[in-house]
Amino acid sequence: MTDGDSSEAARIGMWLFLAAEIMLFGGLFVGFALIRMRHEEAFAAARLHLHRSLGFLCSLAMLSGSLSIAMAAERAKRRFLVATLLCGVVFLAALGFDYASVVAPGFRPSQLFFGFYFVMTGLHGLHVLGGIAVVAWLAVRGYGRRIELAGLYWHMLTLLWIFLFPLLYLAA
Amino acid sequence: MKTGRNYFATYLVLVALAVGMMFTRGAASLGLAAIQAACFSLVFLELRHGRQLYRVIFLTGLAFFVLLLSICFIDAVTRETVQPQIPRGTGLR
Repeated sequence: MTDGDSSEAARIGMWLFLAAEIMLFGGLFVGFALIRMRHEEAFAAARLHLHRSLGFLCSLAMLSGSLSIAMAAERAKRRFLVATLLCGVVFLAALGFDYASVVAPGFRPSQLFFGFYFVMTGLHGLHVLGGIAVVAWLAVRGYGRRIELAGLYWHMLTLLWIFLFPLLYLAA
Repeated sequence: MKTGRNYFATYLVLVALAVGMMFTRGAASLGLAAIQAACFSLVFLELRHGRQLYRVIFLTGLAFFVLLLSICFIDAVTRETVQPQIPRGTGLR
């Protein structure tokens, strides 16, 4: 097997993994939508506890991370990878602040909305943490063509957040 | 370098859509998200210029999601509320 073949196989493997991710989060999206249909008012009331500005900041961080990792693959410069790392950290920090503000004032974990909120954003946050670890490893060890695979992974996380943001923070 | 410029231009459009989302609610914000996702997929995931196989894999994942969504919604909308039938004389009424 040549380098080109193995690189192509790795790309196809990553695409299959991303398709599986769509289905994983897809199940959560469907569950959320179905439960929301039956508890519309409770969901609307629970949503008021979230900070839309922090959700927007998370969106900005994910989009900026995607831009910088795409530029890192395009121009092979390490500073773009460091920028992606910073975006990931900003995303997690903003999510952490949102968690802290939700949990603090008389939080009732039995609320259905927050069950979905914590599972969906927590799972996404864990994926981002994994992405940060991969990008940091690539930044330290040198990356070559592997950056494209990391980029695909990061872009998929951004794509998922594009739907998580309006679903959790905005949809009334 | 042209690609880098494309990325940046798309990024600006995506940020503008995200700002737009902040001032909308419900279906409108989800609609903007769909537009945002389409732009993002075409440019950043390179579905526009990438290999056909990648497009097929991505769309297969999406198709399964849509299938799951539609079947679940059809079930939720058409299912009647089931009233438990408790036999008389069992003392459970």
